[in-house]
Amino acid sequence: MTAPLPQPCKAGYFDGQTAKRHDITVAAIEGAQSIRLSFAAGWPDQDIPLGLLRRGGDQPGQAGQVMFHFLQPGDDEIQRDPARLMLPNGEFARWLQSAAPNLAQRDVPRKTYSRLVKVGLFAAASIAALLFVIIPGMATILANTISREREVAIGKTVVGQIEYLLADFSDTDLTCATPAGTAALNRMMARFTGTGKITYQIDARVIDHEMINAFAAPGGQVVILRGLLDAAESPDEVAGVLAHELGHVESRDPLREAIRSAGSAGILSLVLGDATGGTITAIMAEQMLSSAYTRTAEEKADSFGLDLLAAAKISPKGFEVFFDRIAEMGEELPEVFSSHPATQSRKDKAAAAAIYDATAALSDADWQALKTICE
Amino acid sequence: MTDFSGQSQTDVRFIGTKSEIFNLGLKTGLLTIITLGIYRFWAKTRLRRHIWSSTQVRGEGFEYTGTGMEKFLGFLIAIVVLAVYLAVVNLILFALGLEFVSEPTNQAEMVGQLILIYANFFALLPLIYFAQYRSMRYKLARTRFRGIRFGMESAAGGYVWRALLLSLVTLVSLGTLWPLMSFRLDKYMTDRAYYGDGLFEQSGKWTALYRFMLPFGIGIALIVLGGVVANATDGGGLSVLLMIAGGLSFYFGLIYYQVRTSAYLTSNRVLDGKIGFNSTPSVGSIIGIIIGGGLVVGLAAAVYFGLFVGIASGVVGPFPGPAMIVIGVVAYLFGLVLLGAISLAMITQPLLAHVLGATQVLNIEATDEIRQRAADKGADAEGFADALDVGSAF
Repeated sequence: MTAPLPQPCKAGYFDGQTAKRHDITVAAIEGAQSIRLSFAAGWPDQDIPLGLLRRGGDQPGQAGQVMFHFLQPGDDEIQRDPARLMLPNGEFARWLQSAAPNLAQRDVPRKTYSRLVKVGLFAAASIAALLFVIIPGMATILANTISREREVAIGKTVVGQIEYLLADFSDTDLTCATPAGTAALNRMMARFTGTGKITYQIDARVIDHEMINAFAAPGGQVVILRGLLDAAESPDEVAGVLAHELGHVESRDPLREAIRSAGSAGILSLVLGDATGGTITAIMAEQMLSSAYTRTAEEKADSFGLDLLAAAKISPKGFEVFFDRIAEMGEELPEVFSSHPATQSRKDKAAAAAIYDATAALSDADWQALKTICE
Repeated sequence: MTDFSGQSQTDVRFIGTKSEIFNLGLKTGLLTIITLGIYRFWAKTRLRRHIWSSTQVRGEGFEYTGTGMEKFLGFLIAIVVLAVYLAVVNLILFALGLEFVSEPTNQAEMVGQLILIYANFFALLPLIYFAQYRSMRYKLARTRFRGIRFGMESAAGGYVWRALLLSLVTLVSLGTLWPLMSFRLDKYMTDRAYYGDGLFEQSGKWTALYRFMLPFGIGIALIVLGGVVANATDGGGLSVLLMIAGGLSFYFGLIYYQVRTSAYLTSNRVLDGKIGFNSTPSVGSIIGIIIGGGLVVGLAAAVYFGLFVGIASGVVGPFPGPAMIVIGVVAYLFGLVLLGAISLAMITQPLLAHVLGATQVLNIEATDEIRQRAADKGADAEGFADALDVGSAF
């Protein structure tokens, strides 16, 4: 120890049992690395090793006295002596500052870290179970109880939200419509609905956005983004994509997804500390746009799409060609292609397609009208 | 009621300085950004430690013994409970045909939206009241003065149903029974609070709070009158003037009510049947601090974010790259931390200094007879209050 020992000094002491202040004298003990508290009447002296002294944190500089407490040696859970030492802000307190080694140490009760790990794992596991098991499960149950009318209403809301998101959070109407283009789109849809395999009233539209994507919203709403039309080189390619999306519509995948994201969005905003709900709609719409359904759902939609193409007598090759081209462009694959590369059953069905006489999904004139629907 | 005439009066003092609380706010705020928000529990703990120890009676400071770790653990537990609760509530609401719509386009959607917002709010209301009580209990359990613990009985359930009932009564009475709610809820907490083995007691009458509603009531009357005049005269200067005067009277009347109510309740609190309190804050000074401090914070915000936007548009141009976006977000967050620290120094510190400085303890000598109480166990610390952002400042 380099600093010379300070003079004994008067101090206050609270014994932790009553609120009465005891006036005591504190003295440093030569060579013993401890201080001695001397009480006035009848109480025995108490020696406190310097290593056990702790200073209360973040105390104001203006205070006339500084508060100290002592680490309780032993197994006590709190490890803290309830007694308090109040030293005047002077020579003795300054000496203690340099002489006591662990003044600023924050003692953590035993088993705190193992408890932290346990609670942290419990919380993470619970949230994960909620997001990935319980909410999807409940979404499936709820989706089965919702009527078709309700489903259509929900779908309209979802499409509205996505349009809002794509228009950079403004109310601009992005839906494209030219008389010839809309007629062409309807004619393509008629080929699908004419097969009798579609039980929903389909409402298909093109939205003016450069993203290469298409998606199905609940209740038969199908949305094609203009980027997909730009990237497509034949009507069969677009028809392949639509047939796949109609597969999702028929198995109510978008509805399940919308319910699931409604449930999860609230929880995510809670965990992320945003209780305003403003971001909730954005998260929901975002999830819908980049939605990946489960692998089983994708395979089912694929299989349905191929059956539908066959029934409508449209070649499934367009879908394959389209997929290869987009994959080569190195862009992020939209949901419609997410179950590729093809499964064996898809190859078998595609091969079987040679059996039927496919015709182009649209006439050249209609195809040109559809491609220019946003102009 | 205990008579304190002739007893000793001891001033409470707040000795923390503006620079100390500014530095603490800035330092802990920056650590909160660096740790992606996790440090906020420790930041709150350190701020409380400073404020508690700066609050002194007869030269002895209060002590806050809560830890960031227990707050963090409590938050983790609370968030799981809340997540399950909210998920269930929202799935049920969805099944009933209510969901968030970004832009309601017709009357039905508007109504649905409102019902949903209120349903969510009312579903959370019991938890909010629960969190309020638990948070107060936790704060008391972690507060010591002269080595002796404060504490509060574990009675959050009774608080929740009383608070819900009183909220309903206040709502149905169009706010005219608000003093009843203010008084009863405060009394419920106070009557269950301890310092060591000494029990607090709230005396006084709820009807005494009515006189504090006067400026607030005048504000409402002026606004209504403004509306009537506007209807009668097709708008015009007088109605606008009445509305503005009413709005100001309403806003400052709200502050007046809160300050005077809190002072009345404090002055009618008795500890252990022997120790009293006296609180005489000046509403004018408090409004002055709020306006003055608010102007400083507003000015700082205008300068900082003005420079921020100016530099951003000058250097970066309208299409920033990813690196620039990261720098922008960090600069934005730093701005928030800086403004938070300024408002601690310019609003919180003067408010604490004024309100605590206007408080006296009567017959403090009687505290010598107070004995220690057993430690209270509060497993969730105040996790619910943190998750629901109840009482966010400190």
